Amino acid sequence: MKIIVLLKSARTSPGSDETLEGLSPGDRAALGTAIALATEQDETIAITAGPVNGEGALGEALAEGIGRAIRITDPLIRDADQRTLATVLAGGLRKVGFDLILTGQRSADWASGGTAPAVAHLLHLPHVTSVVRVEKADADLLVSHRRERCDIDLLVKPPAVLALLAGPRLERGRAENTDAPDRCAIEQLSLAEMTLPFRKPLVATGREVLLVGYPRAAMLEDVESLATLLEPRR
Amino acid sequence: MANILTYIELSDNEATASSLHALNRARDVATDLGATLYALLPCGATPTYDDEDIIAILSRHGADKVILISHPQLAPPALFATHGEALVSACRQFPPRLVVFPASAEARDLAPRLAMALRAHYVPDAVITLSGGRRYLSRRVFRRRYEVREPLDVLDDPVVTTLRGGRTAEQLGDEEAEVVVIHAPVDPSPRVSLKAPTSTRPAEGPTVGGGVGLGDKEAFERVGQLAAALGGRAVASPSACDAGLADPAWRVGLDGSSVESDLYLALGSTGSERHLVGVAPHTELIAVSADPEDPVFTFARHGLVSDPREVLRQLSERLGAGKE
Repeated sequence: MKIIVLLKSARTSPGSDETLEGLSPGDRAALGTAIALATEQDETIAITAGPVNGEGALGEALAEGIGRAIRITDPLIRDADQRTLATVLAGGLRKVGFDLILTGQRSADWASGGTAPAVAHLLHLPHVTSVVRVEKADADLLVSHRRERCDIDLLVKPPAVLALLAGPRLERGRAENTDAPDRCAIEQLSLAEMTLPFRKPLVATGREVLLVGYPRAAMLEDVESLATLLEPRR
Repeated sequence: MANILTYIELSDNEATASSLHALNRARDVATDLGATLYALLPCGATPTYDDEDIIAILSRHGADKVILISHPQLAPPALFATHGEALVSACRQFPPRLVVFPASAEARDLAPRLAMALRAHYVPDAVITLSGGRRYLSRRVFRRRYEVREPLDVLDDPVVTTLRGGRTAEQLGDEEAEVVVIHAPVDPSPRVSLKAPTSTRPAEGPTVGGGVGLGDKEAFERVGQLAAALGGRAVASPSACDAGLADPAWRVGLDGSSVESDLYLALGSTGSERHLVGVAPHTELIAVSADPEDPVFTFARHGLVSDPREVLRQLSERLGAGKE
């Protein structure tokens, strides 16, 4: 089975090329799940699409034991909206091949949680979000999907796209050598190598991105008012 | 006339409070735009009709019309893999300018893919705000540091949104909504199927977390006791874990886990990006810190400027934390 992990090198701020160090909780869960699921017969590949300096996530994936790391980068996708990014990822996935696609529930920047369903839509695959456990069950996958008051066990026939909320814990010690990832091991994939049906980026008219001003919290008077907020929610 | 559709989520055959809240807010927008407001109701069996039936309830909460899609395979739980075709079909029959979901795990599975199918813009975990006489869909991004606002009166492309903050809903009238029954396609052999009966568990209580401002391991033990008393989970900031104050398994944020509960009480945390990466957009943050300049107060819904250790002690006493 070819297990793909889609990782996001999240930006520090809108429009910036700087990326955060480290993996978001969802991406870490996806990586841990891929490593836990893979047997010697399986192939594991981590893929990112985004800014030029987004190699940290791939370096960490390699250090954790992922077999291959592929970076899709191109100036055209620098400010890509979600649909464009999903189109690029789907193009890369068609090129590389896949049986199972894992990713985090949401990224650490735009946090929309829309990438996994968007990629699944473009590849005509089923998707499940809010996944907290994945196990092999013969040819199928046993997938636990988390709701507010229950976990729902599902049988999923691969290929499929799963968005992870939680997964097996990775030992952070294994990732300590990611300070100097072997960049030669990170393969490059350009848009020219894919056949992509690019369309006009979809951006809502009048959209504004504002820096949140200080202070925004409604300030409480004392512990008593804090307890009053908490008690009904226990 | 434009159409606005609100997805109605069911729990024990009743519309959830967050669905009715979403219907209320969609009513405001529909009135502004002169649009028709539909409640979109997929269900496993046709509902009964009486004074307290779901149609009457949806009418009273603002729906002009109710789109009823009834099929045995459309019983909850709804996933896009099982319900998606029916939702897309309904949207094709009543092309929406806006589709509103309550912000929930169910919506996080359905809404983004419906947006893709409709070539719509997706705005998750939003609230509707008023500014300068205009209504906006607003949401926090980039670890709550930025806000994206999208005006609701300039919808060139359709928009699919999930709305936060729906714990209560109000009745707006008693006019009976028209019911439109549609027959939508359902995948007879979906590639995602229910494996076992759903295992219910109590709703998760507030998460309680600590940062380095709590000072020592003893305080983190108390965090664990307070979280248990509230029926929630105990967590810690990456800095607190790196300093050896808290169990590494409690780590929330970069290289850790996430907080998904409705409410998160953060004690002695400055609100670093490394930590807030792990706090879900739908989670309401309450911050307690001694320093009023701490950035955490910029990102929290509620804040208390006070010694977090003392607040933890008093809350623990008040809520009976640590008692057998």
